[in-house]
Amino acid sequence: MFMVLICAIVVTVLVAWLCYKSMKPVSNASSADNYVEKDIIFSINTENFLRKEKKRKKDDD
Amino acid sequence: MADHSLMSFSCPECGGSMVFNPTKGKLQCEYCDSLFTREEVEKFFAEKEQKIGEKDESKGWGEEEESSMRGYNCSSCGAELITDANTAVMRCPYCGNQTVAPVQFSGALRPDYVVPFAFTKKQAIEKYKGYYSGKFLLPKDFIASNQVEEIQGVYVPFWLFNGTADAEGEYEAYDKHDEGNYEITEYYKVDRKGRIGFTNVPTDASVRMADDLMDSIEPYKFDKLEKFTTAYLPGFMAEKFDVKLEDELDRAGSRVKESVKKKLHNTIKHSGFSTKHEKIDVNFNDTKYALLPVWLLTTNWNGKKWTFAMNGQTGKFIGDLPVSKLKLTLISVATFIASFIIFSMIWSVS
Repeated sequence: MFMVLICAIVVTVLVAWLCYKSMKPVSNASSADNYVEKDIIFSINTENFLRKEKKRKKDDD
Repeated sequence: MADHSLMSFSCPECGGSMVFNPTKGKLQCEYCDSLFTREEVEKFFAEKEQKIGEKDESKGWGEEEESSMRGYNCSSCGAELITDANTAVMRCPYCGNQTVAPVQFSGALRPDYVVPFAFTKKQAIEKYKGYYSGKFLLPKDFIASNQVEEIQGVYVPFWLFNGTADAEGEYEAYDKHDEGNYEITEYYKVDRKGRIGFTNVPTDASVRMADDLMDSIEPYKFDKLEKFTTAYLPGFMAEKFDVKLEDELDRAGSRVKESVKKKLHNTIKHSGFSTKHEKIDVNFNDTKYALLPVWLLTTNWNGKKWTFAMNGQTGKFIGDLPVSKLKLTLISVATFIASFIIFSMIWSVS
C-alpha cells in the first residue's frame, strides 16, 4: 500500500508540474542554432584507436 | 537611396497621410487607400531628396527626418519611444501604463536595418485569442480583464552580430559491445579543430524588454532584412536602444559557443565520450543595429505585469499565462485519485 501511495504521489506531482509548465513557455535561448552555418570547416578531424578493455559481465544468476 | 525623403509620408495621389500595411507590404493612404511600394514612394520623393543632399546614412538622422519624428517618454517605466508624426502613442507597450508623454525627439543612433511587420493588428489579436483559448488552467477573470485591443506594434531595437568561431577539442570516445561473457570497451582519441561562421545572431538592445521573451519569439528570417527607412514606421512605434553593443557581446558569444559546442559533439559518432580539452574563440567582425517587429500586449492582473509578444514577421506568439490555483488543485486531486486506483489494481493483480 505504501508503494501505491508513493507511485500515485509521483504521478500527481509530475502531471501538475507538466500542466504548470505548459502555461509558462517563455525561456532564455541558450544557443544560436538558427544563425550559425550548417557545417564546421575542419582543419583537424582525426580519430585514433587508443586501447581496448575487457570486463567479465556480472553473473545475475 | 537615402530614405530621409520619406519623412512626410504624404500620399503622392491625394496628399493624405500613409501607414505601412503589413499584409500587402506596402504603404497605404489612410484617405484614398492608394497603395505604394517603398520604391515608388522613394522615387516620388526623389526630387526632394536631391534638395536635401547627401547625409550620413549609417549614424545620424537627417534634419528633415528628425523634424517628422516624435518622441514619447513613459513616466512609469522610462521607456523612450519614437514614431512618425502621424502615429500617436497613448499607452506604454512595456508596462501598460497610460502615462506616456510626448517629448522632444532627440536623435539616438539611427538603425541600419529593419524587418517590416507582416501581420496586422487584427491578425495579432486573433493570434492572441487563439493562444489562450482552450487553456483550462487560465483564470476566467484574467481573460475578462484583458484589454486585447491594446496590443501594439513595436519595433524593438536589436544588435545583430556577425563573425566566426574558432573551435578545437580533444575527446576520449568509446564504443561498447559484448563478446560472450565479456563486455568490450574500445577507446579512441578524437581531435577536432575548425572554423564556423555565424550571421545575424540577435540580442535585444532594450533594458525593459525581457530577454527570455524576445528569445522565445525567435527565429527571425533575416533574409528579409531591409535597409532602414522611416517609411516602415507609420502606424507603429520604435524604442530607442538603451543597451550598449559592448554589453551584449557576452550574451551573443555564449549563444554561439553553445551552438558550436553542439556541432562539435555531433561529429563524434561513438557510444559516448568525455571531454579532455575544449576551446572556442568567438570573433565578431561586424554588427548591425536593427529594428525587429513585435506585437506587444502588457496587462496588469492581480498586481502582476503580464507581457505577451508576437513575432511581427513570423506570427509566433508567446507569453507566460497565469495559473488558477483552484483548477491546478482540482487536476492534482483528480490525478491522485485516478492513479491511486490504477496502481492499487496493478498491485493487487501482481
